[in-house]
Amino acid sequence: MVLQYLTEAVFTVLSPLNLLVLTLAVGSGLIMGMLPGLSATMAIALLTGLTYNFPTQTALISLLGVYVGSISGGCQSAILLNIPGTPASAATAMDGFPMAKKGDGGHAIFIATTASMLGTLLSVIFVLTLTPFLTSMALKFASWEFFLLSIFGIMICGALTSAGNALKGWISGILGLLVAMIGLDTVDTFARFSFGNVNLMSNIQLIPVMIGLFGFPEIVRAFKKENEGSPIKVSKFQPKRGFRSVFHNWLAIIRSSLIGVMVGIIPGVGEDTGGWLSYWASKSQSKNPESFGEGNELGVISAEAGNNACIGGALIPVLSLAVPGSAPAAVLLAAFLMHGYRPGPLLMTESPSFIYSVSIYIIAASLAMWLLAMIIARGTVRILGIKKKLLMPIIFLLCVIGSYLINYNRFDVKVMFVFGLIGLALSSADFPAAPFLLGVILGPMADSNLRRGLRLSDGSFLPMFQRPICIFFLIIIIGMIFTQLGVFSKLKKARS
Amino acid sequence: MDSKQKDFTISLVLVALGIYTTIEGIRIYIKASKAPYNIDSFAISPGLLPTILGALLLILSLVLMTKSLKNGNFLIRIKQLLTWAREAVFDSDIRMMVGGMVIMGIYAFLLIGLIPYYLSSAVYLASLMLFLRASSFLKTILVAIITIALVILLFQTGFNVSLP
Repeated sequence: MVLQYLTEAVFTVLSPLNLLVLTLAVGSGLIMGMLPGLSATMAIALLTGLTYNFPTQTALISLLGVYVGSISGGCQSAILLNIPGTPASAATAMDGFPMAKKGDGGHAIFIATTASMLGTLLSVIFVLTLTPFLTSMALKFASWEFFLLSIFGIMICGALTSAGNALKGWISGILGLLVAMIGLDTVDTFARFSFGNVNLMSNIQLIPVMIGLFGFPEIVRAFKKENEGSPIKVSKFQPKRGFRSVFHNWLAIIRSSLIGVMVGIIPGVGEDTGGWLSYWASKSQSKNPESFGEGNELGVISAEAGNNACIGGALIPVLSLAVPGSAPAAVLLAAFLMHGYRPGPLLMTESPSFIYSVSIYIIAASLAMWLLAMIIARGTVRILGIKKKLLMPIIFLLCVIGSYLINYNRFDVKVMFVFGLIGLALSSADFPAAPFLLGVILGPMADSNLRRGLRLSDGSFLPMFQRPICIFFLIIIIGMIFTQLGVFSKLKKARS
Repeated sequence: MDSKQKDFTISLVLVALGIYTTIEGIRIYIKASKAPYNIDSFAISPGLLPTILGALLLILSLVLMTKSLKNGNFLIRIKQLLTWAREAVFDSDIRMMVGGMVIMGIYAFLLIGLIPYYLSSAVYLASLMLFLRASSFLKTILVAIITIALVILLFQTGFNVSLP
């Protein structure tokens, strides 16, 4: 029966109309993912309305195609301009942009795209096989676990991205968390740090902050006299070398994909966290961790395999529990409902072929994504050949549009500019921007879950030290603090 | 500016921010304990996390400041900061960066919404490129017009989204 469902799905996707729709959807997703501000969530949301009158299977193919395309497309702008097209690609910029600056932008895009494809394909295996098991594990996450997960994520990111000075990374993370406190809180709708401003009350939007922190400093630095008349080195595009790199790092791809799937399954934790955790895992396993952040291709491969594997991971709770694992998956859930499917515990009874069709469509979308991204990349790598002083004012124009399009609100453009100034100040003082961004992303989750947990325990912190998953996180967090402060090395010295 | 001086300068701002956030967190707790919220317990108050974060920021910033003062006391660092600020006024790189940011700021805060998008963006692009001496006058104007036309075509026609 399963084989029949899979074969039917293969034939459906191979029909000329569906192949055309798949190509168009993946291509649009890639372009939207590349442009900062046009997120994966927005790409799916925009397409959902357009697919209303499509035949159901065609609509599913286009929605999944645009999802895969937009998550993968973000890496190109992250690598070439240090402006992640989507938050999912923020970790990719860490090593991708230094690679591009060295003239290896084409190679970086190649390995990132290939890792994205492999991450997506591996995640599909989990959609098909491990759905029931992993769903039951994700259900064990309650308020305290979510709170500690967010703190753990920010601390890891702070330690990873601060080039040996974790203090700066953690300060950056705290600043991000503080920004997330602005506006009405999610538990009691109490207005914090909003000074009576309606725009601030509705919280600071993530995308303008991201564009400001990452894009603005690069734009402004290009105005320096030293950049006068010097176009950035045109990057190379070498498929053979790319395949070799991917092949040599097969273990990192599998590890990152596993992490991505696990992260994707946990509701509320998105592709961005998947990318960061995979990056951290590869850095901590590496014999040469200091090369990360300087243009290490393993960093690019891990981040991209990790964030794309979240696609399959995020779909697992959507299909089995009707609980989305990430923001784009939430929009996808709404689209599934609009097209007559009812994801949840009854899905396998009501629409037994659905999960197999979805899996095949994701596989087709990831293959199409790879092909299209390679075609597009041959053009995009030439962007670096344009004179910086001519290119950067245009990039700022796109940053303005990206910030505005989130809510069609001019206030977000101002937010982008202000956070750009903050980003410039932070980067001048060697503070990493990534923990700041992760703080903004995970802040609402940390705040609401901490207070929800405390409410359930009558204000007691004790449950945090009694739950097994919490104890696991606490041990890692404390271990990380001790490692960064050099406690273990001091103890070793004292012993010897 | 050397890295210790940078750390000192930014830690000054962060200490101030840490103090403000801690106080504001406590103020939020006091406000939330009154009607209509009536949240008496600090543990479940919306002021809990801001207070914790403010205190943490203050502690970590003080650690950073202490580290930055290893090769000089507080007053020496302040004097160095003032000297740097005086010199920065005449630095050509800083002038270019500040000038560029002013043009970008005028576009983001004033021009958008005041005049039609295509006009404000063309004025911004042309003036910033001319300020940076990116290319000849004619080429700059041409690049500005072509860019705006492509942006409108891609976003308004292609993606069917409205621009500011």
